[in-house]
Amino acid sequence: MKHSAPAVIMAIGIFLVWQLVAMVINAPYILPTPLQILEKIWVLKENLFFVQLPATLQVTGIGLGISIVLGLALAMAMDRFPALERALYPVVVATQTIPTTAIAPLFVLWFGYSIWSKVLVTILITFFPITITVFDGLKSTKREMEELLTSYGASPWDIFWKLKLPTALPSFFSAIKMAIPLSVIGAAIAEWLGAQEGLGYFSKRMMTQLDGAGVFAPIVLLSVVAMVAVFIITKIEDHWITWRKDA
Amino acid sequence: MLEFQSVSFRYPQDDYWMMQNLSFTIEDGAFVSIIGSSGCGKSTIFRLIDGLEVPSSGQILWDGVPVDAAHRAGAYMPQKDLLFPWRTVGDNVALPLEIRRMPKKEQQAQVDAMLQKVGLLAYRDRYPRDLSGGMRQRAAFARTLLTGSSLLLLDEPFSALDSLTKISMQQWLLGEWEREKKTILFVTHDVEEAIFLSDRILVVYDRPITHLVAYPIDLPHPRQRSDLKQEAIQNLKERLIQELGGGNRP
Repeated sequence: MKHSAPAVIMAIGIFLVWQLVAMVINAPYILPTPLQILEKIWVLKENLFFVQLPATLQVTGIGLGISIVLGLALAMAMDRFPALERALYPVVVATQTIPTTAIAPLFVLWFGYSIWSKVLVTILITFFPITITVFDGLKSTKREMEELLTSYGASPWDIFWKLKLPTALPSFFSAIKMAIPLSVIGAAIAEWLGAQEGLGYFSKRMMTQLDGAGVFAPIVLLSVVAMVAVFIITKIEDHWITWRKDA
Repeated sequence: MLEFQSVSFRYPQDDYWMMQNLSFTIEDGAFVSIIGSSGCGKSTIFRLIDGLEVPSSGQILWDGVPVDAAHRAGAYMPQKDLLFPWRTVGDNVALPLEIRRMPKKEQQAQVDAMLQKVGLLAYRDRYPRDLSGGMRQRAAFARTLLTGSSLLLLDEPFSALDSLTKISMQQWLLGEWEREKKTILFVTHDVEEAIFLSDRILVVYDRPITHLVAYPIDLPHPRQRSDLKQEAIQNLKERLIQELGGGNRP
Protein backbone atom coordinates (compact mmCIF):
# COMPACT_ATOMS: atom_id res chain seq x y z
CA MET A 1 0.00 0.00 0.00
CA LYS A 2 2.81 2.35 1.01
CA HIS A 3 4.55 1.43 -2.25
CA SER A 4 1.58 2.46 -4.44
CA ALA A 5 0.72 5.60 -2.45
CA PRO A 6 2.64 8.02 -4.74
CA ALA A 7 0.81 6.66 -7.80
CA VAL A 8 -2.58 6.98 -6.10
CA ILE A 9 -1.81 10.53 -4.97
CA MET A 10 -0.64 11.44 -8.48
CA ALA A 11 -3.77 9.95 -10.08
CA ILE A 12 -6.08 11.79 -7.65
CA GLY A 13 -4.17 15.01 -8.39
CA ILE A 14 -4.57 14.59 -12.16
CA PHE A 15 -8.29 13.88 -11.84
CA LEU A 16 -8.77 16.91 -9.58
CA VAL A 17 -7.01 19.20 -12.06
CA TRP A 18 -8.97 17.66 -14.93
CA GLN A 19 -12.25 18.14 -13.03
CA LEU A 20 -11.43 21.77 -12.32
CA VAL A 21 -10.27 22.60 -15.86
CA ALA A 22 -13.31 20.89 -17.41
CA MET A 23 -15.63 22.76 -15.05
CA VAL A 24 -14.00 26.05 -16.00
CA ILE A 25 -14.20 25.33 -19.75
CA ASN A 26 -17.74 24.10 -19.28
CA ALA A 27 -18.03 22.42 -22.71
CA PRO A 28 -18.72 18.71 -22.05
CA TYR A 29 -18.72 17.87 -25.78
CA ILE A 30 -15.05 18.93 -25.88
CA LEU A 31 -13.77 18.07 -22.41
CA PRO A 32 -16.14 16.23 -20.07
CA THR A 33 -15.29 16.06 -16.37
CA PRO A 34 -14.15 12.72 -14.88
CA LEU A 35 -17.43 12.61 -12.94
CA GLN A 36 -19.46 13.04 -16.16
CA ILE A 37 -17.47 10.17 -17.73
CA LEU A 38 -18.13 7.92 -14.74
CA GLU A 39 -21.79 8.84 -14.91
CA LYS A 40 -21.84 7.95 -18.63
CA ILE A 41 -20.18 4.58 -17.92
CA TRP A 42 -22.87 3.90 -15.31
CA VAL A 43 -25.71 4.87 -17.66
CA LEU A 44 -24.32 2.78 -20.55
CA LYS A 45 -23.01 -0.04 -18.37
CA GLU A 46 -24.99 -2.84 -20.00
CA ASN A 47 -23.98 -1.93 -23.54
CA LEU A 48 -20.38 -1.15 -22.60
CA PHE A 49 -19.71 -4.15 -20.35
CA PHE A 50 -21.75 -6.85 -22.05
CA VAL A 51 -21.56 -5.93 -25.76
CA GLN A 52 -18.65 -3.63 -26.60
CA LEU A 53 -16.06 -4.73 -24.01
CA PRO A 54 -16.33 -8.50 -24.78
CA ALA A 55 -15.97 -7.74 -28.52
CA THR A 56 -12.76 -5.77 -27.91
CA LEU A 57 -11.43 -8.31 -25.44
CA GLN A 58 -11.96 -11.06 -27.99
CA VAL A 59 -9.91 -9.19 -30.60
CA THR A 60 -7.24 -8.30 -28.03
CA GLY A 61 -7.02 -11.83 -26.64
CA ILE A 62 -6.81 -13.60 -29.99
CA GLY A 63 -4.37 -11.03 -31.43
CA LEU A 64 -2.13 -11.07 -28.37
CA GLY A 65 -2.22 -14.87 -28.17
CA ILE A 66 -1.17 -15.26 -31.80
CA SER A 67 1.53 -12.59 -31.35
CA ILE A 68 2.94 -14.38 -28.31
CA VAL A 69 3.11 -17.74 -30.09
CA LEU A 70 4.57 -16.24 -33.28
CA GLY A 71 6.93 -13.89 -31.44
CA LEU A 72 8.31 -16.63 -29.20
CA ALA A 73 8.74 -19.04 -32.09
CA LEU A 74 10.51 -16.45 -34.21
CA ALA A 75 12.72 -15.23 -31.34
CA MET A 76 13.78 -18.81 -30.56
CA ALA A 77 14.40 -19.64 -34.22
CA MET A 78 16.49 -16.48 -34.74
CA ASP A 79 18.50 -17.26 -31.61
CA ARG A 80 19.13 -20.83 -32.72
CA PHE A 81 19.91 -20.10 -36.38
CA PRO A 82 22.00 -16.93 -36.95
CA ALA A 83 21.32 -17.09 -40.71
CA LEU A 84 17.61 -16.83 -39.96
CA GLU A 85 18.30 -13.86 -37.69
CA ARG A 86 20.17 -12.08 -40.48
CA ALA A 87 17.32 -12.80 -42.91
CA LEU A 88 14.33 -12.02 -40.68
CA TYR A 89 15.44 -9.33 -38.24
CA PRO A 90 15.26 -6.52 -40.84
CA VAL A 91 11.83 -7.77 -41.96
CA VAL A 92 10.53 -7.73 -38.38
CA VAL A 93 11.87 -4.17 -37.96
CA ALA A 94 10.29 -3.17 -41.31
CA THR A 95 6.84 -4.22 -40.07
CA GLN A 96 7.09 -1.40 -37.55
CA THR A 97 7.62 1.23 -40.21
CA ILE A 98 4.14 0.58 -41.59
CA PRO A 99 1.71 3.16 -40.17
CA THR A 100 -1.05 1.10 -38.55
CA THR A 101 -3.78 3.62 -39.29
CA ALA A 102 -2.84 3.50 -42.98
CA ILE A 103 -2.83 -0.26 -43.32
CA ALA A 104 -5.85 -1.06 -41.14
CA PRO A 105 -8.41 -0.03 -43.82
CA LEU A 106 -6.62 -2.42 -46.18
CA PHE A 107 -7.25 -5.26 -43.78
CA VAL A 108 -10.93 -4.29 -43.71
CA LEU A 109 -10.90 -4.53 -47.52
CA TRP A 110 -9.33 -7.98 -47.35
CA PHE A 111 -11.22 -9.46 -44.42
CA GLY A 112 -14.34 -7.29 -44.28
CA TYR A 113 -15.84 -6.40 -40.91
CA SER A 114 -14.97 -9.85 -39.53
CA ILE A 115 -12.88 -10.18 -36.40
CA TRP A 116 -9.75 -11.03 -38.42
CA SER A 117 -9.15 -7.55 -39.83
CA LYS A 118 -8.92 -6.28 -36.25
CA VAL A 119 -6.90 -9.26 -35.03
CA LEU A 120 -4.38 -8.63 -37.80
CA VAL A 121 -3.89 -5.00 -36.72
CA THR A 122 -3.38 -6.18 -33.13
CA ILE A 123 -0.82 -8.75 -34.26
CA LEU A 124 0.99 -6.18 -36.38
CA ILE A 125 1.30 -3.81 -33.44
CA THR A 126 2.31 -6.37 -30.77
CA PHE A 127 4.38 -8.86 -32.72
CA PHE A 128 7.46 -6.63 -32.87
CA PRO A 129 8.01 -5.88 -29.16
CA ILE A 130 7.43 -9.52 -28.22
CA THR A 131 9.84 -10.89 -30.83
CA ILE A 132 12.61 -8.37 -30.26
CA THR A 133 12.43 -8.32 -26.45
CA VAL A 134 12.39 -12.11 -26.13
CA PHE A 135 15.15 -12.42 -28.74
CA ASP A 136 17.30 -9.93 -26.81
CA GLY A 137 16.54 -11.88 -23.63
CA LEU A 138 17.74 -15.12 -25.22
CA LYS A 139 20.85 -13.35 -26.50
CA SER A 140 21.65 -11.99 -23.04
CA THR A 141 22.64 -15.46 -21.85
CA LYS A 142 26.08 -15.36 -20.24
CA ARG A 143 28.65 -16.97 -22.50
CA GLU A 144 30.55 -18.48 -19.56
CA MET A 145 27.39 -20.22 -18.36
CA GLU A 146 26.78 -21.59 -21.85
CA GLU A 147 30.36 -22.84 -22.01
CA LEU A 148 30.04 -24.42 -18.59
CA LEU A 149 27.04 -26.43 -19.77
CA THR A 150 28.84 -27.28 -23.02
CA SER A 151 31.77 -28.58 -20.98
CA TYR A 152 29.30 -30.87 -19.17
CA GLY A 153 28.29 -32.27 -22.57
CA ALA A 154 25.00 -30.34 -22.86
CA SER A 155 23.10 -30.45 -26.16
CA PRO A 156 21.70 -27.24 -27.74
CA TRP A 157 18.31 -28.29 -26.35
CA ASP A 158 19.77 -28.63 -22.81
CA ILE A 159 21.32 -25.19 -23.15
CA PHE A 160 18.02 -23.72 -24.32
CA TRP A 161 15.91 -25.39 -21.66
CA LYS A 162 18.24 -25.07 -18.66
CA LEU A 163 19.88 -21.74 -19.42
CA LYS A 164 18.42 -19.63 -22.20
CA LEU A 165 14.78 -19.98 -21.26
CA PRO A 166 15.22 -19.02 -17.59
CA THR A 167 17.54 -16.17 -18.64
CA ALA A 168 14.94 -14.85 -21.09
CA LEU A 169 11.96 -15.22 -18.75
CA PRO A 170 12.19 -11.66 -17.32
CA SER A 171 12.36 -10.32 -20.90
CA PHE A 172 9.32 -12.41 -21.81
CA PHE A 173 7.32 -10.83 -19.00
CA SER A 174 8.53 -7.36 -20.01
CA ALA A 175 7.40 -8.11 -23.56
CA ILE A 176 3.95 -9.17 -22.40
CA LYS A 177 3.61 -6.09 -20.22
CA MET A 178 4.55 -3.92 -23.20
CA ALA A 179 2.30 -5.81 -25.59
CA ILE A 180 -0.87 -5.69 -23.48
CA PRO A 181 -1.47 -1.92 -23.75
CA LEU A 182 -0.37 -2.04 -27.40
CA SER A 183 -2.85 -4.83 -28.14
CA VAL A 184 -5.66 -2.78 -26.62
CA ILE A 185 -4.58 0.23 -28.69
CA GLY A 186 -4.36 -1.95 -31.83
CA ALA A 187 -7.83 -3.39 -31.31
CA ALA A 188 -9.33 0.05 -30.65
CA ILE A 189 -7.67 1.57 -33.76
CA ALA A 190 -8.92 -1.30 -35.90
CA GLU A 191 -12.44 -0.98 -34.51
CA TRP A 192 -12.33 2.77 -35.03
CA LEU A 193 -11.47 2.26 -38.70
CA GLY A 194 -13.95 -0.48 -39.52
CA ALA A 195 -16.12 -2.49 -37.17
CA GLN A 196 -19.68 -3.11 -36.10
CA GLU A 197 -18.98 -3.52 -32.39
CA GLY A 198 -16.27 -2.98 -29.82
CA LEU A 199 -15.11 -0.11 -27.65
CA GLY A 200 -13.25 1.60 -30.51
CA TYR A 201 -16.33 1.44 -32.69
CA PHE A 202 -18.48 2.73 -29.78
CA SER A 203 -16.12 5.64 -29.18
CA LYS A 204 -16.33 6.64 -32.87
CA ARG A 205 -20.12 6.41 -32.77
CA MET A 206 -20.25 8.73 -29.76
CA MET A 207 -17.92 11.14 -31.61
CA THR A 208 -20.46 11.54 -34.40
CA GLN A 209 -23.04 12.44 -31.74
CA LEU A 210 -20.71 15.03 -30.17
CA ASP A 211 -21.01 13.12 -26.90
CA GLY A 212 -17.69 13.92 -25.19
CA ALA A 213 -18.34 11.72 -22.15
CA GLY A 214 -19.45 8.91 -24.48
CA VAL A 215 -16.14 9.16 -26.38
CA PHE A 216 -14.14 9.06 -23.16
CA ALA A 217 -16.11 6.25 -21.48
CA PRO A 218 -14.74 3.39 -23.65
CA ILE A 219 -11.25 4.91 -23.48
CA VAL A 220 -11.39 4.79 -19.69
CA LEU A 221 -12.58 1.18 -19.85
CA LEU A 222 -9.73 0.25 -22.22
CA SER A 223 -7.19 1.85 -19.89
CA VAL A 224 -8.58 0.06 -16.86
CA VAL A 225 -8.58 -3.29 -18.69
CA ALA A 226 -4.92 -2.79 -19.77
CA MET A 227 -3.86 -1.71 -16.27
CA VAL A 228 -5.57 -4.67 -14.61
CA ALA A 229 -4.00 -7.09 -17.12
CA VAL A 230 -0.52 -5.60 -16.60
CA PHE A 231 -1.04 -5.77 -12.83
CA ILE A 232 -1.94 -9.48 -13.05
CA ILE A 233 1.10 -10.22 -15.24
CA THR A 234 3.33 -8.31 -12.81
CA LYS A 235 2.02 -10.41 -9.93
CA ILE A 236 2.65 -13.65 -11.87
CA GLU A 237 6.14 -12.37 -12.75
CA ASP A 238 6.92 -11.54 -9.10
CA HIS A 239 5.78 -15.02 -8.12
CA TRP A 240 7.86 -16.80 -10.77
CA ILE A 241 10.96 -14.70 -10.96
CA THR A 242 12.24 -14.54 -7.44
CA TRP A 243 15.92 -14.55 -8.39
CA ARG A 244 16.01 -11.27 -10.33
CA LYS A 245 17.52 -9.21 -7.53
CA ASP A 246 20.75 -11.24 -7.52
CA ALA A 247 20.81 -12.24 -11.19
CA MET B 1 47.51 -39.01 -17.64
CA LEU B 2 47.17 -35.71 -19.47
CA GLU B 3 49.60 -35.01 -22.29
CA PHE B 4 50.11 -31.91 -24.41
CA GLN B 5 52.02 -32.93 -27.53
CA SER B 6 53.46 -29.97 -29.47
CA VAL B 7 50.24 -27.99 -29.14
CA SER B 8 50.01 -24.65 -30.95
CA PHE B 9 47.01 -22.38 -30.70
CA ARG B 10 45.91 -18.95 -31.83
CA TYR B 11 42.46 -17.34 -31.38
CA PRO B 12 40.98 -16.58 -34.83
CA GLN B 13 40.64 -12.86 -34.02
CA ASP B 14 44.25 -12.52 -32.77
CA ASP B 15 47.34 -11.99 -34.87
CA TYR B 16 49.60 -13.62 -32.29
CA TRP B 17 50.00 -17.17 -31.03
CA MET B 18 48.90 -18.04 -27.50
CA MET B 19 51.14 -21.13 -27.51
CA GLN B 20 53.52 -22.80 -29.89
CA ASN B 21 54.71 -26.40 -29.77
CA LEU B 22 53.81 -26.68 -26.11
CA SER B 23 54.41 -30.09 -24.55
CA PHE B 24 53.93 -31.15 -20.96
CA THR B 25 52.51 -34.04 -18.96
CA ILE B 26 50.36 -34.26 -15.83
CA GLU B 27 50.41 -37.55 -13.95
CA ASP B 28 47.27 -39.14 -12.54
CA GLY B 29 46.34 -37.98 -9.05
CA ALA B 30 48.70 -34.99 -9.11
CA PHE B 31 47.87 -31.51 -7.86
CA VAL B 32 49.56 -29.15 -10.28
CA SER B 33 49.25 -25.35 -10.32
CA ILE B 34 49.88 -23.13 -13.31
CA ILE B 35 50.95 -19.59 -12.50
CA GLY B 36 51.78 -16.68 -14.74
CA SER B 37 50.84 -13.10 -15.47
CA SER B 38 47.36 -12.04 -16.63
CA GLY B 39 46.55 -12.80 -20.25
CA CYS B 40 49.49 -15.16 -20.70
CA GLY B 41 47.21 -18.01 -21.79
CA LYS B 42 46.71 -20.05 -18.61
CA SER B 43 42.94 -20.22 -19.05
CA THR B 44 43.39 -21.04 -22.73
CA ILE B 45 45.19 -24.22 -21.65
CA PHE B 46 41.99 -25.17 -19.78
CA ARG B 47 39.75 -24.31 -22.72
CA LEU B 48 41.83 -26.57 -24.92
CA ILE B 49 41.72 -29.44 -22.42
CA ASP B 50 37.97 -29.00 -22.12
CA GLY B 51 37.42 -29.09 -25.88
CA LEU B 52 36.05 -25.51 -25.95
CA GLU B 53 38.92 -24.59 -28.28
CA VAL B 54 40.68 -26.76 -30.84
CA PRO B 55 44.49 -26.74 -31.18
CA SER B 56 45.79 -25.29 -34.45
CA SER B 57 48.30 -28.13 -34.44
CA GLY B 58 49.49 -30.87 -32.13
CA GLN B 59 47.23 -32.87 -29.88
CA ILE B 60 46.09 -33.25 -26.31
CA LEU B 61 45.70 -36.75 -24.93
CA TRP B 62 43.77 -37.80 -21.85
CA ASP B 63 44.54 -41.39 -20.88
CA GLY B 64 45.86 -41.85 -24.41
CA VAL B 65 42.66 -40.64 -26.13
CA PRO B 66 42.74 -37.36 -28.12
CA VAL B 67 40.62 -34.60 -26.56
CA ASP B 68 37.93 -32.98 -28.69
CA ALA B 69 34.34 -31.71 -28.34
CA ALA B 70 33.08 -35.29 -28.10
CA HIS B 71 35.77 -36.41 -25.64
CA ARG B 72 36.27 -33.67 -23.09
CA ALA B 73 39.03 -34.39 -20.64
CA GLY B 74 38.29 -32.38 -17.54
CA ALA B 75 35.61 -30.85 -15.37
CA TYR B 76 35.98 -27.11 -15.57
CA MET B 77 35.39 -24.84 -12.59
CA PRO B 78 35.71 -21.19 -13.58
CA GLN B 79 36.72 -18.21 -11.49
CA LYS B 80 33.10 -17.16 -10.97
CA ASP B 81 30.94 -19.78 -9.33
CA LEU B 82 28.37 -19.50 -12.17
CA LEU B 83 25.59 -20.91 -10.04
CA PHE B 84 22.28 -20.40 -11.82
CA PRO B 85 20.28 -17.96 -9.67
CA TRP B 86 16.94 -19.54 -10.63
CA ARG B 87 17.98 -22.98 -9.38
CA THR B 88 18.26 -24.13 -5.79
CA VAL B 89 21.69 -25.20 -4.57
CA GLY B 90 20.65 -28.86 -4.99
CA ASP B 91 19.41 -28.27 -8.54
CA ASN B 92 22.60 -26.40 -9.42
CA VAL B 93 24.77 -29.21 -8.16
CA ALA B 94 22.62 -31.73 -10.06
CA LEU B 95 23.23 -30.05 -13.45
CA PRO B 96 25.95 -32.42 -14.74
CA LEU B 97 23.81 -35.40 -13.72
CA GLU B 98 20.72 -33.99 -15.44
CA ILE B 99 22.71 -33.51 -18.62
CA ARG B 100 23.83 -37.14 -18.41
CA ARG B 101 20.10 -38.06 -18.17
CA MET B 102 20.61 -39.84 -14.85
CA PRO B 103 17.32 -41.02 -13.28
CA LYS B 104 15.90 -38.44 -10.83
CA LYS B 105 16.13 -40.69 -7.77
CA GLU B 106 19.76 -41.49 -8.41
CA GLN B 107 20.49 -37.79 -9.01
CA GLN B 108 18.90 -36.93 -5.69
CA ALA B 109 20.98 -39.51 -3.83
CA GLN B 110 24.23 -38.35 -5.43
CA VAL B 111 23.47 -34.69 -4.86
CA ASP B 112 22.63 -35.28 -1.21
CA ALA B 113 25.80 -37.29 -0.69
CA MET B 114 27.90 -34.63 -2.39
CA LEU B 115 26.30 -31.76 -0.49
CA GLN B 116 26.88 -33.67 2.72
CA LYS B 117 30.52 -34.02 1.74
CA VAL B 118 30.96 -30.28 1.12
CA GLY B 119 28.94 -29.33 4.20
CA LEU B 120 25.99 -27.82 2.34
CA LEU B 121 23.25 -30.40 2.77
CA ALA B 122 21.25 -28.01 4.96
CA TYR B 123 21.26 -25.55 2.05
CA ARG B 124 20.04 -27.96 -0.64
CA ASP B 125 16.71 -26.18 -1.10
CA ARG B 126 18.04 -22.67 -0.71
CA TYR B 127 19.00 -20.37 -3.57
CA PRO B 128 22.56 -19.20 -4.35
CA ARG B 129 21.71 -15.73 -3.05
CA ASP B 130 21.39 -17.27 0.44
CA LEU B 131 25.01 -18.50 0.40
CA SER B 132 28.23 -16.73 1.34
CA GLY B 133 31.10 -16.47 -1.17
CA GLY B 134 32.89 -19.51 0.27
CA MET B 135 29.71 -21.58 0.34
CA ARG B 136 28.99 -20.70 -3.28
CA GLN B 137 32.47 -21.86 -4.28
CA ARG B 138 31.92 -25.12 -2.39
CA ALA B 139 28.61 -25.60 -4.20
CA ALA B 140 30.37 -24.94 -7.52
CA PHE B 141 33.07 -27.43 -6.53
CA ALA B 142 30.43 -30.03 -5.65
CA ARG B 143 28.89 -29.50 -9.09
CA THR B 144 32.32 -29.93 -10.69
CA LEU B 145 32.93 -33.18 -8.78
CA LEU B 146 29.57 -34.56 -9.95
CA THR B 147 30.72 -34.41 -13.56
CA GLY B 148 32.44 -37.67 -12.64
CA SER B 149 35.65 -36.55 -14.33
CA SER B 150 38.88 -37.58 -12.66
CA LEU B 151 40.59 -34.42 -13.94
CA LEU B 152 39.48 -31.15 -12.33
CA LEU B 153 40.37 -27.87 -14.02
CA LEU B 154 40.11 -25.15 -11.41
CA ASP B 155 40.53 -21.68 -12.88
CA GLU B 156 41.33 -19.21 -10.08
CA PRO B 157 38.40 -20.49 -8.01
CA PHE B 158 39.29 -18.53 -4.88
CA SER B 159 40.49 -15.26 -6.39
CA ALA B 160 37.28 -13.38 -5.59
CA LEU B 161 37.16 -14.46 -1.94
CA ASP B 162 38.34 -12.47 1.06
CA SER B 163 41.66 -13.62 2.51
CA LEU B 164 40.25 -15.51 5.52
CA THR B 165 37.68 -17.40 3.43
CA LYS B 166 40.37 -18.06 0.85
CA ILE B 167 42.65 -19.66 3.44
CA SER B 168 39.87 -21.88 4.77
CA MET B 169 38.84 -22.87 1.22
CA GLN B 170 42.43 -23.78 0.35
CA GLN B 171 42.63 -26.03 3.39
CA TRP B 172 39.26 -27.51 2.53
CA LEU B 173 40.25 -28.16 -1.11
CA LEU B 174 43.45 -29.85 -0.06
CA GLY B 175 41.44 -32.13 2.24
CA GLU B 176 39.03 -32.94 -0.60
CA TRP B 177 41.90 -33.72 -2.95
CA GLU B 178 43.64 -35.94 -0.39
CA ARG B 179 40.37 -37.83 0.04
CA GLU B 180 39.19 -37.96 -3.61
CA LYS B 181 42.61 -38.46 -5.20
CA LYS B 182 41.55 -36.78 -8.41
CA THR B 183 43.99 -35.04 -10.73
CA ILE B 184 43.77 -31.29 -10.20
CA LEU B 185 45.08 -28.61 -12.52
CA PHE B 186 44.81 -25.29 -10.74
CA VAL B 187 45.31 -21.86 -12.28
CA THR B 188 46.20 -19.03 -9.93
CA HIS B 189 48.03 -15.70 -9.70
CA ASP B 190 48.80 -16.31 -6.06
CA VAL B 191 52.27 -17.82 -5.59
CA GLU B 192 51.66 -18.74 -1.96
CA GLU B 193 48.39 -20.45 -2.85
CA ALA B 194 50.14 -22.43 -5.58
CA ILE B 195 52.90 -23.53 -3.21
CA PHE B 196 50.51 -24.51 -0.43
CA LEU B 197 48.25 -26.59 -2.64
CA SER B 198 50.47 -28.18 -5.26
CA ASP B 199 52.85 -31.05 -5.76
CA ARG B 200 54.29 -29.18 -8.68
CA ILE B 201 54.07 -25.64 -10.04
CA LEU B 202 54.24 -24.92 -13.75
CA VAL B 203 55.23 -21.36 -14.48
CA VAL B 204 54.30 -19.50 -17.67
CA TYR B 205 56.84 -16.80 -18.40
CA ASP B 206 56.14 -15.67 -21.93
CA ARG B 207 53.59 -15.54 -24.65
CA PRO B 208 53.42 -17.47 -26.89
CA ILE B 209 53.85 -20.26 -24.34
CA THR B 210 56.50 -22.58 -25.68
CA HIS B 211 57.31 -24.36 -22.44
CA LEU B 212 56.31 -24.45 -18.80
CA VAL B 213 59.00 -24.28 -16.14
CA ALA B 214 58.33 -26.88 -13.44
CA TYR B 215 59.04 -26.42 -9.72
CA PRO B 216 58.40 -29.43 -7.48
CA ILE B 217 57.03 -28.60 -4.03
CA ASP B 218 58.71 -30.70 -1.44
CA LEU B 219 56.10 -30.68 1.30
CA PRO B 220 54.45 -33.72 2.84
CA HIS B 221 50.69 -34.33 3.08
CA PRO B 222 48.57 -33.51 4.98
CA ARG B 223 49.84 -29.96 4.89
CA GLN B 224 49.54 -27.17 7.40
CA ARG B 225 49.87 -23.47 6.74
CA SER B 226 52.85 -23.42 9.10
CA ASP B 227 54.69 -25.53 6.48
CA LEU B 228 54.88 -22.38 4.38
CA LYS B 229 57.31 -20.90 6.92
CA GLN B 230 60.05 -23.38 6.03
CA GLU B 231 63.12 -21.63 4.73
CA ALA B 232 63.26 -23.54 1.44
CA ILE B 233 59.60 -22.75 0.76
CA GLN B 234 60.06 -19.09 1.63
CA ASN B 235 63.02 -18.93 -0.74
CA LEU B 236 61.02 -20.56 -3.53
CA LYS B 237 58.18 -18.12 -2.98
CA GLU B 238 60.50 -15.11 -3.16
CA ARG B 239 62.19 -16.49 -6.24
CA LEU B 240 58.91 -17.08 -8.06
CA ILE B 241 57.59 -13.64 -7.15
CA GLN B 242 60.77 -12.05 -8.43
CA GLU B 243 60.77 -14.05 -11.64
CA LEU B 244 57.11 -13.43 -12.37
CA GLY B 245 57.58 -9.76 -11.59
CA GLY B 246 59.94 -9.54 -14.53
CA GLY B 247 63.16 -9.91 -12.61
CA ASN B 248 65.49 -12.85 -12.98
CA ARG B 249 64.07 -15.44 -15.32
CA PRO B 250 65.49 -18.94 -15.51
